[in-house]
Amino acid sequence: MRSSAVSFPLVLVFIFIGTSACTGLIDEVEGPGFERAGGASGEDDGPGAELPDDITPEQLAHGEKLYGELCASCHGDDGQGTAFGVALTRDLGFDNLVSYIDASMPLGAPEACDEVCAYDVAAYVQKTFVIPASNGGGGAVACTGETPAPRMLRLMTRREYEHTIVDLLGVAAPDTSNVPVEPRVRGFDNNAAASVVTSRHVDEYVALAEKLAADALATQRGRLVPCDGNASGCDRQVIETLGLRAFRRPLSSDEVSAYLALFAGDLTEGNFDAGVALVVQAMLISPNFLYRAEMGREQDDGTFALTPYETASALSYTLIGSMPDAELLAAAAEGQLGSTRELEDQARRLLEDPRAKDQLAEFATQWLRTESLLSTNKDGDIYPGFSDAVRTAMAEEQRRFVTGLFFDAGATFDDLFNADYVYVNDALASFYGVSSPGGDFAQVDAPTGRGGLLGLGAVMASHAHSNESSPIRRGLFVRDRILCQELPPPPANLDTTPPGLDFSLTTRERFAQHTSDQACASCHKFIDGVGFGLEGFDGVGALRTSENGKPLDTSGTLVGLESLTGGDVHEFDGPRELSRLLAGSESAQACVARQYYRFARGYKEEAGSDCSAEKLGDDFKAGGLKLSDLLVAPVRLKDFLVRK
Amino acid sequence: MFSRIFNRRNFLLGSAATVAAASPLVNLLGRASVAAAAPTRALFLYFPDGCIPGRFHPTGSERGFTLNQMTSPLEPVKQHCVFLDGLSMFAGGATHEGGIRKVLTGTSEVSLDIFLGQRFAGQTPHNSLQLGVATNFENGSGGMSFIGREQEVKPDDDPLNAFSRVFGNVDGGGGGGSGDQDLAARRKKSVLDAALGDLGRLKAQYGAAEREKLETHTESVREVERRITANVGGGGVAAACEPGSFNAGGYSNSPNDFYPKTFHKEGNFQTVTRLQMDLAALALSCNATRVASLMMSHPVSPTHLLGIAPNHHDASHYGSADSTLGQQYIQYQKHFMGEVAYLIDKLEKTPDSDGNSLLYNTIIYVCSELGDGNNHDHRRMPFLLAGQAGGALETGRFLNYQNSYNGPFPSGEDTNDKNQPHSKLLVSIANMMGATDVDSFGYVGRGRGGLPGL
Repeated sequence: MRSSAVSFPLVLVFIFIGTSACTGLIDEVEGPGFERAGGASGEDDGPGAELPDDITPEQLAHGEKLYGELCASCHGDDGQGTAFGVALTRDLGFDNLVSYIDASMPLGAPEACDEVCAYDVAAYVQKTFVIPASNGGGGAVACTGETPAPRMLRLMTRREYEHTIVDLLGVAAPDTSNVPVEPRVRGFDNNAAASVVTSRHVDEYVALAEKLAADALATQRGRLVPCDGNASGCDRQVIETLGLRAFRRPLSSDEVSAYLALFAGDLTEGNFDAGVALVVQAMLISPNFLYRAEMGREQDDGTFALTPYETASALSYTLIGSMPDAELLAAAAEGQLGSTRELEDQARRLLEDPRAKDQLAEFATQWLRTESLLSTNKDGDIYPGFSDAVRTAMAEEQRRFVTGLFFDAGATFDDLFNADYVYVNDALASFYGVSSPGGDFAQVDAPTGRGGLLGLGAVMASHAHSNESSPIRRGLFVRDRILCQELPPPPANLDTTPPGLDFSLTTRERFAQHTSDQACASCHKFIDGVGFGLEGFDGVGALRTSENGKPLDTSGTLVGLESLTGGDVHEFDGPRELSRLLAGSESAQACVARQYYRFARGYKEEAGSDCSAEKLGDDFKAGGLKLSDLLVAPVRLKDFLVRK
Repeated sequence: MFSRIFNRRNFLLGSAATVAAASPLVNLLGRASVAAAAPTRALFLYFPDGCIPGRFHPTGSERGFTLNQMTSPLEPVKQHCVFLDGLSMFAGGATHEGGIRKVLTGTSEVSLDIFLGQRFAGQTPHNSLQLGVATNFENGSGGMSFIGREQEVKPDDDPLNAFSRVFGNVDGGGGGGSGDQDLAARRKKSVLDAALGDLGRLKAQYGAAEREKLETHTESVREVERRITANVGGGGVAAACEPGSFNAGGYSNSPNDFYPKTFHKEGNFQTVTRLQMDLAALALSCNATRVASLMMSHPVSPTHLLGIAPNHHDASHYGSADSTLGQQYIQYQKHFMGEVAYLIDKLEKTPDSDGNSLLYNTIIYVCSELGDGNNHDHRRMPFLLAGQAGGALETGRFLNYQNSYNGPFPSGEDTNDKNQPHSKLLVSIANMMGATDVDSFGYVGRGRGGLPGL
């Protein structure tokens, strides 16, 4: 094999970039010791990934040219990905890469790149961007260390804002519905990179601040003003007392001075409370309030360690979705929260707070993509039983189901899929066809076909159309949310007409016709076969045994359980068998941890920056897949305290 | 509710209205009375899920053309339009998600509405307005406005809140005399200044880290601050600037509507569409902004209209144009073109400060995220322009760019697609808005500059 390190010095540059995030962190005494398998630091014997021996420089040059023309606009000039395309650092194997490019790339126009093109582009990509296993890997190989998240200012979501206001001011939760909706990244609403403050945010924050300052002064004045307004220094005391909690850290003297200016006579006209109101307003629109900082202080190894106050916020917002309480702020003031023991103790304390269950339920809603359950349009003629009471009960069932498990020290990942009970009230019992527990929610035996999260009405109703089930949406749900296997969108120029409602056929029969087409089947073989196994649920999550007068076939096929390229095929019948498959899947086990990591960290990890997410999954497995462990596990990661 | 009492002194400055509106409004009206040259405005109007190209694009010649089924509701206003066939969107992502990301960005990071708004920052109270009709309802595919890479600017779906943000709480009266207003303005400014001070300290502390985010935030605060310091008003206010006429039908949000909210209910779709159009027209005519965007629903639209059983997106996968589904899709898109006609007519009937109509001084870009809804492609996009951009655009035309691009082709691009790239249209719009230095906007694979012959 030709040594690319000699022939193509450019290649090495990319490899250095690709691995520096890990290799630069090795052997720091005080640092967390992040590293990857192999841990190579870009020596000359660490070139690009495996290539056939007979690739010529001309082919590589041709591949580079084609890459620039066909691929770079989506995958980036540097192969690190863009908004439109993934990073190309993962080692799929040369032959796999050639056939994938030949068949599918450029997305929507694979005819633009024939076999020769695909071969040369693959050679260039493999040589230039892919990080081979021997060099740490671009995500496809085992990590032995962690990859900390970037330094971030994390804009509070509307939900976090509401909780924080309640804790900070002691007033009722404000209505934040006029604040712009959060962008969703991979389903989560707290992505720090995507969340920015536009002028509409400022307008709404200002309006809220004016109202909240007035409310707080009217109802909680004693809390805001712990001193006599006529006494010297009371203004400063107000600022320092509220500031510590609003900014979740003590104010600097510069900051105190700046806020003291709000007590100037031309603003207050001698009215002390007018100055207090201005301080409250100013703090509520301050970036120090609106963002929680995970910026850290620089360390010798070039990473940044969260300050104790930043750590207090990270713990609190992660676990209860609100600002740190007095005990956390006191711990930060004493310089604690630096050891895993202290972090874990605080985490366990916070998990006793009732809001910890709200937070976990919120994670489940975003993870399972059931946030539209209450508002989604369903055809009332087809589904007359799907009443508001049923929707609300389904949401409550999901909440009880996940909190029941994640807050049960004995519950494991297996229970999440194989639990043999449901939570119902009268309305839901009637909808599910089980006997009513009488009144409020109770746990009862699951009817045949239900149980586990795949049997939740909330999940099945959310992943369906307004007037029918959707094998495709449900298949994608399992792939994307449960197995963390992201499939590309359908290519352009492909007729993706769904089969129309035909009351002589079952949904399965109609979709089977549709995706028997070769072009569709290349992706849909991963999707539909999974969804077909969930056809026992109609479009609102009710159980059924027939459709349009025909008996239902609930057999399914799952291709590539642990990896889309695995080639393994699993036949199953119905949701319970599918649940057993998923419960035993290492990909699914790792995926729930990864999804929780995404929710907790608020950033989009990619191949090459996902070792911490992977380690969380490994720790989860090593600890016996205990769900309650998963909530504490992120604080045990070294990267809980480290940013880069 | 807003039509009952309208305090003319307070209409311009959003929530700042109750404190400091008097002087800028007087200034603006003063300018209007001497028939100041009117600025050119831009309005970006989105409808969902593409079209059937053969049933959308007109047939015939540039000045002798016949509208098609989907565009037929535009017949009464076609003299104000430029119909565009033969534009494709290249590069970037595929399908709905890729289409909506690039329809206003051309694959650059910032969308044209935000870009133009930033370009004219300080000339009007609002850099740009993003309005929507149920855009945040069951939207998994995103919106079209971006302020940075993957940083979407979400439209406001609530027309009453959006109105109140731009024109103030007109019910509120505005309190006492100008002394109180002065004090309130100073207080508000002091609060915003405190935020700017904190932003400055953070930027100094963190250096390059998160700099872009803090800069965006700073610009947002400055925009709001400008509204109360009255340093706004780059042109005349139209003679028909009458916010008090808003919502004459008395639409209101019910506090009992949570799931979904009142403005997200399908039964209110058209009412909200018209309110948002009225608001966009008011905001432009009153020079509250020079740039507005309005999204009617969103990609993969779940909306049901006109009593049609399949939802909008399901109908967009029509199979064949003459099928039942195809006819339903045509009905849906005709509905949206009817709304477009309403807006064009509204602007035509709104006199501007220079004696022309507001429409004359506006460039409207009507767009969607797909070409053929069935195929999920980005060819023969259903785009059209309306308004004369202050004289820069000659309307009443049909321009067919099919087979008009003959190379050079970027390697790998489909050479059978001889359409012009829509990114050139974005350049043309920027140029017509006075951003004459812009010669590319995103994709440049088929050359730079504006759309030839436009």
